[in-house]
Amino acid sequence: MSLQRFILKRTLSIIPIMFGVSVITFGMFHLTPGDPVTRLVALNPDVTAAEEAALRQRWGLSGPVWEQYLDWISNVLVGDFGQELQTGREVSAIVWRRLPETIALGLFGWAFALVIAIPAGIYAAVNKNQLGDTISRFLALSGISIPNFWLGLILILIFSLYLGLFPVLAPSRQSLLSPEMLWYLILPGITIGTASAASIMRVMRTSMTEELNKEYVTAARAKGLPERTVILKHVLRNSLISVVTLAATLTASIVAGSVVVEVVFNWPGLGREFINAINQREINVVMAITLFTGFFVILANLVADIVYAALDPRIRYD
Amino acid sequence: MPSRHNASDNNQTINRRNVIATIGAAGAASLAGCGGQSDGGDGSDGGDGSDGGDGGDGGDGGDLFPLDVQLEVNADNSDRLQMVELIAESMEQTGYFNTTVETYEWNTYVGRVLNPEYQNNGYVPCIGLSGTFNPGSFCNALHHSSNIGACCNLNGISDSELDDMMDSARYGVDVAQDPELRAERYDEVWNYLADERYSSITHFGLATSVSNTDLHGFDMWPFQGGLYSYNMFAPQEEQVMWIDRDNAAGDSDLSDLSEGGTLSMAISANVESFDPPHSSDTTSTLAQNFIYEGLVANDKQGNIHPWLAESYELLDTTDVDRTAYADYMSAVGTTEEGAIDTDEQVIVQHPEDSPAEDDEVRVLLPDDATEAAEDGTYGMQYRYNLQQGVEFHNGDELTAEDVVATYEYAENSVLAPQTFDSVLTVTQVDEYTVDIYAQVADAEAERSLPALLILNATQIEEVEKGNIDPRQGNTPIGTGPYEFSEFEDAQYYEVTKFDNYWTEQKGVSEAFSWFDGSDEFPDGPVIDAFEIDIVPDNSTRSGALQNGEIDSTYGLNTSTLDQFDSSEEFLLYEIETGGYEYIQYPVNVAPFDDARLRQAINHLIPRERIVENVFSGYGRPAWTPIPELAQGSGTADAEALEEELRPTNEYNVERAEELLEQVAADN
Amino acid sequence: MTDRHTHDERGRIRISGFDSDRVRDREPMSDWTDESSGETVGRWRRGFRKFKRNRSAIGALVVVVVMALAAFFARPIEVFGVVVQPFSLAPYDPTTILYLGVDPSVNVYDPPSWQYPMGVDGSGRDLFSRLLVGGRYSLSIGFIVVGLTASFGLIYGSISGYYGGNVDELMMRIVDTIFAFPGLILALIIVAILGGGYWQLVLAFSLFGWAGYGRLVRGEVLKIKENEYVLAAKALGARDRSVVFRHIAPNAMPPLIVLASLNIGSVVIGVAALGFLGLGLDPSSAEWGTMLNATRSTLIQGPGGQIPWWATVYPGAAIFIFVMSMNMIGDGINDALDAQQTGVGRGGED
Repeated sequence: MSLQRFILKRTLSIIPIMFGVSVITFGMFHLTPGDPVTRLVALNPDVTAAEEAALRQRWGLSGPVWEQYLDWISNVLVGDFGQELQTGREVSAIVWRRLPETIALGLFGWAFALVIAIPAGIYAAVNKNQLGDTISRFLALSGISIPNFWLGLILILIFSLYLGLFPVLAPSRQSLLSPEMLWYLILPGITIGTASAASIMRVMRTSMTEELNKEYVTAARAKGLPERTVILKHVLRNSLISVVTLAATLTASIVAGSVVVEVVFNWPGLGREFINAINQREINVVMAITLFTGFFVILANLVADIVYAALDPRIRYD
Repeated sequence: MPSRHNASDNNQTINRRNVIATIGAAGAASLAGCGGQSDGGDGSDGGDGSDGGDGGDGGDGGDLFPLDVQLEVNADNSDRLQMVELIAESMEQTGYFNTTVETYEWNTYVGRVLNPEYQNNGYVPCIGLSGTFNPGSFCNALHHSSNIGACCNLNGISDSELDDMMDSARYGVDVAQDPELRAERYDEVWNYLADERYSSITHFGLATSVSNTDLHGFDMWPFQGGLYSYNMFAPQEEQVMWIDRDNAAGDSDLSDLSEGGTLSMAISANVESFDPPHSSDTTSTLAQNFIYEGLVANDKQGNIHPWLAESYELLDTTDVDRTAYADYMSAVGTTEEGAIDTDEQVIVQHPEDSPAEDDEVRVLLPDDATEAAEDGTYGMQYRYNLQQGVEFHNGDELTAEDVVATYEYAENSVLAPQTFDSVLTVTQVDEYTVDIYAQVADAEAERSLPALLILNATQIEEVEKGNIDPRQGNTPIGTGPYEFSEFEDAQYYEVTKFDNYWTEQKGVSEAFSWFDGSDEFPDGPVIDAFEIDIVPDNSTRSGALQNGEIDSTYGLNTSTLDQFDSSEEFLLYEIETGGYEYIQYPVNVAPFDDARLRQAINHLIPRERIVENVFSGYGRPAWTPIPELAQGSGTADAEALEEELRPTNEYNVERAEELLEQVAADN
Repeated sequence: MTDRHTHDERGRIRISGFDSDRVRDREPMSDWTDESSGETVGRWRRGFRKFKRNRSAIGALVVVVVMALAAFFARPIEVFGVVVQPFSLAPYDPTTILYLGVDPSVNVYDPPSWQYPMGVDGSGRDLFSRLLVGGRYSLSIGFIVVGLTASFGLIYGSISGYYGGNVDELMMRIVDTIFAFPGLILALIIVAILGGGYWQLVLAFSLFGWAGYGRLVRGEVLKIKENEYVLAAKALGARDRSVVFRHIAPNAMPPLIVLASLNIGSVVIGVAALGFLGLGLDPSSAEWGTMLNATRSTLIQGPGGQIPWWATVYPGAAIFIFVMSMNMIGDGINDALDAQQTGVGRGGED
């Protein structure tokens, strides 16, 4: 199979998954006892039966479940996620406004993870079982073990409050592309990226170690190539492939992390909106963000697979 | 009660927050805002198996004790939760009670406790309210039978003797004309409540605000919603704040005043609405107060000063009750659920009809109310003479038409219940004169009739009801000193000074005939602009203040306030508010129908411990049911009242056990 | 291969045949060792020996055992009014407010002292007692969730891998779908729908948490399926169920155990995260994340204010140490059993 056909096939394969994602999202809110109207009415004993029925009609909650699902999904497909129940505001507008903030945070977290983890992984693999390796392994283990909300609080405490280096307030008026955004991004970015950095570092170290034991490395060394060239030109490239396989998982981790980290840093992104919506029982917002998250992770998986396929000449497309 | 079902009119949704706010029909109280992040704990206790009770000397009361008591509270207010746990633990330690504390997410909780069926559960709920200058806001809301299933007679207290006492303290020609008599009548209410002990108010809150020393001339205001509008310009108390980044505030006075600058501050909640009658939460009020003004303004004692009205006078008081409007009423059907079936605002519902029982009820609708007033059927008639030359932000001049339109706009709004609790109708006399009529002789009318913020008639014409909001593409327009500039939902809000603000055009002593302050007092606010960040987390606001990102904020965690107070770089301001918290006993469920049991539990509430340990001293134990701000109209002698009632509210385990033994002996 | 009918026929032959009793009577661990030339039982033994030599993993194991025992013996446990565990390591009940009755001189956020070794929390309760008792929530939820999800994932993955074809295709698409959601997001939604509480949390992390095990086991099964001994067992007429559970599943165990040990840490962090977001247990419960949420505001004090570090450091450190120990154990098992591919790809849960 050619690479193009692989890409096509792989791309088509996400369709049933996207369908499944939408079914799970919808099902969790509509098959559980007490739909949004029931819950709303429970809060307000004065709503009449007629009004309840009218609300159901308006929010697409009348009729059999599959019909409700079709209504909902056909609206979603044209970008209509309904309105906030309490304010009547368009949910899609809310999602689009918050999305860039979360993407900026996620990208920064990713960048931080890569910048820290890849050199650290190389260093650990090259100096295997020496002190530096032990320390970095320990740090990596700590990195995957430390609760991110806890890490965020400690970072705020040290760098914003004791040292006064970073702002405490989240950005509100700054444009996302302005240079001062960097100051706002650093602490939450580090918090969100730490677990990923630790995972990448561990994978880098393992796969580098394996690569370094392979014959072609011995051969290259025997040829008299400088160690630097051997590592950077040959070993690194092959090791990075294993990082790509990790990328999709880590994207999911960063998305989940954004929920917690945005709350800790009061970051005006989708994660904080998600928690607010859960607290306010804004079902439409929760559903929209859940669906968005699912689609985003699926796409990340797809991209990772394609990159992986393109990078690794040994892969069999099947 | 007005038909709030129909209030879901044009917004395509039932606004849950509106519903909750609308329920505060007593007019006085609105549910205290619950800041901070809320919590999803739907009440299930995590299986915390152990019981913590250490036996004690109880249990000799036959089958009754130890009594299982369930206290309930919303989970998102950690201080309140802590307080309830403290009360529960205190009860538990006597050995007479096995207590459990159940917590609920805020919306769930409100829905739960406001359900009229709730009273049958036998639970002890805790909730917070914010009262006003009106003494009724500290007794009616909790105890009047008309507030069952509303805010906030949660446990179905229905005591007609008490209802009459509270009504006669507010309504009637006698109390409307004689403040002394009114105060005495309230004293009777407080004493009655101390005996019956339907509820236990625990403490009164302190409002606190912290600013850096760049902000000069700042002072507290007992209501959060008015904190910044009071400080920017309040000639009634010669209050004006200014920014001076070169000199430290502390003992600066008006002669040091400097103009200009932008104040950065942080508020604790999102601005939910810019549409005054369609919101009642304090943050929305705070945001609206930059833009809009009312006919009158209060000072800290609750005295009233004419504002957009140049002057006002009481023209007439008559001795009518609400049945007097029967001739003007129309019969309207009711729904199965016992609601009045009309799209129009119900001004008065005939007291002898019951929407729950009758198929039709007699109600007074707006047009008929105007007709009644014109025919001379009304309780009171107040005449307001408007200031001339007041300019709206869109260039219109303020006229009587705007005032009339504002009151019409308030029909079926969130504020409708409390507005049309007292207002009969508003009529235009001439271009700059309006009459506001009260339904009955009402001691609170002078404050409650002109309570609305005045909107622009042109804007009202143009927008859909409830949509004066930048999120709906409508810039709010008022007569206030600041113009709306920018708003990003849940992030920030900015206002800039309005160039043609009317008091600056006129000069302060020209504008307000009652002004007798210093010549140095400016003609209007002096700060150019406000940049307001919306930061719900108290700690984050505190950090931002210390990090120099904002100049001023409020509502910081009480445990940190002493530190700000002793710091040279910050100034702490505090004032007692009308905010209070209370638990209410399920009086209709045995054994809580026994007043001695209720009194006993009241003696087990460690009020001083609550204030000291839960609120770090920033509060005042509720030795009487009224805070300072309501003492003006609510008691003849505050000291005597406290002396009398304090012993009934002291933490006194011995007395409690004595009472409990009596209860046990009778069972 | 997926045709049940033929399998049943084979099964019937087996019953009348000669092999079944022998297969059934064997130890599950050893029934495949003969055919696989003794290599795998050696793997377990060698793994165990290797693990014992791994000092950090053994140290971590000791930490986890100590924490679990401390939580268990923290306060007496009653079941239906009968005391099943009378010991009480924690000096106070986690709900006891010290200044009421016990010791009026105690104030909220009193620092650690001899009497209250970890200090006092914001409600005047003994933190040491709360921390010990709090371990019950995190640890028990962690182990219960992993037990449930790993068991279900094992069954799910075995079936999917063994049958292959359309069954496998469908079952793996379901797993892929679940993988599209970060675990924490799903848990948040479930808790939002059901409300907080102990069993709600267990459900929140179990309902979709098995997918990782399912995929892992399925991969292992595919590898093992074509092995000679499995083919032999099938040829000898072993029933599907017996092939899967006696031959294939045990072989998939090493990586499963590694993943499970690593996942306990993830679940504990997840539970704490929900508690921290105020969506887990009752806000006054002693669960570690909930305790952190309750004292979170104290991190930012006023000017010159002293942070009551004990209220934040100890619960946070408890989570950290437990998760770190579980991860070290997981790494240790991974090294010992050589199930290397599972040591990676973590992080999706936290």
